[in-house]
Amino acid sequence: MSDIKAVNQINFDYNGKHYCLEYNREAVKRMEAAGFKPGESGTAPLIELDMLWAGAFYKNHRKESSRVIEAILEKMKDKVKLLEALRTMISETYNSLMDDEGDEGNVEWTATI
Amino acid sequence: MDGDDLESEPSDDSEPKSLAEIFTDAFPYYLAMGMTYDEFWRESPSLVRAYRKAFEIRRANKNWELWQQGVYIYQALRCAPLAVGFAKDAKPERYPDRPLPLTEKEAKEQEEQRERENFFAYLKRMEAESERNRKKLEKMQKQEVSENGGD
Repeated sequence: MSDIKAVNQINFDYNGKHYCLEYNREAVKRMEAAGFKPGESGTAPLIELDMLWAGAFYKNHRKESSRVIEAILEKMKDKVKLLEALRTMISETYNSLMDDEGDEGNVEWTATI
Repeated sequence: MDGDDLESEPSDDSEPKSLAEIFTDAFPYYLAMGMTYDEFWRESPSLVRAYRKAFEIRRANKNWELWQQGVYIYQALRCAPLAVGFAKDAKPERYPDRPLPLTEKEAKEQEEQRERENFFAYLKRMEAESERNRKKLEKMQKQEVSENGGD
């Protein structure tokens, strides 16, 4: 069981370890350098999900192995909502520069692993 | 030719910027607001909102200070004999004896303090007046006694 709190963070426990997934601007910069193009319509959702998922580990869990990162993603049940949450989170890195909104608009989401 | 320019392919400049480019462009502005490299690139993205808000507050405070300084300079110029000299019957104005109030509360407190000071000054004047009257009365009484004694 895990709590997914969009827009800023996704928190969950896996194999006795707590994970807090979030983006920072450095992560987004590195993701783009690796070929990720946010909002590009041609990207297949599963490829987009893989990249967004891996990028969300950069800020707090950058030393986590790709094997574990992939394994956790594999166990995530509602991948459509997960993709939506990750998209919202990554857009916050940009939106926060442009608007004056606070955190009132955050959506809370509970998902199971 | 102009026509050729219109038909040519759009230049690279017209391509939408990547997020990394947008962040890099915005970064110096946030440095100017006091944000550090780590805060901008590595901390929570929403931190920039707090910095913008803080910047607005700092700017408003600075604006207030400049306005207040202007008031002081204006008052000082009105007190200056050179400025007063141009007007025939003008008298130099007194420079404020305390800082200008910054809030309505401060203004009210200053007004109350001024009223208290005026009241004490009035009491002192009354006391002095009553002392003068008492002495005057004593003098008259003594004079009266000495005149009656003379009869």
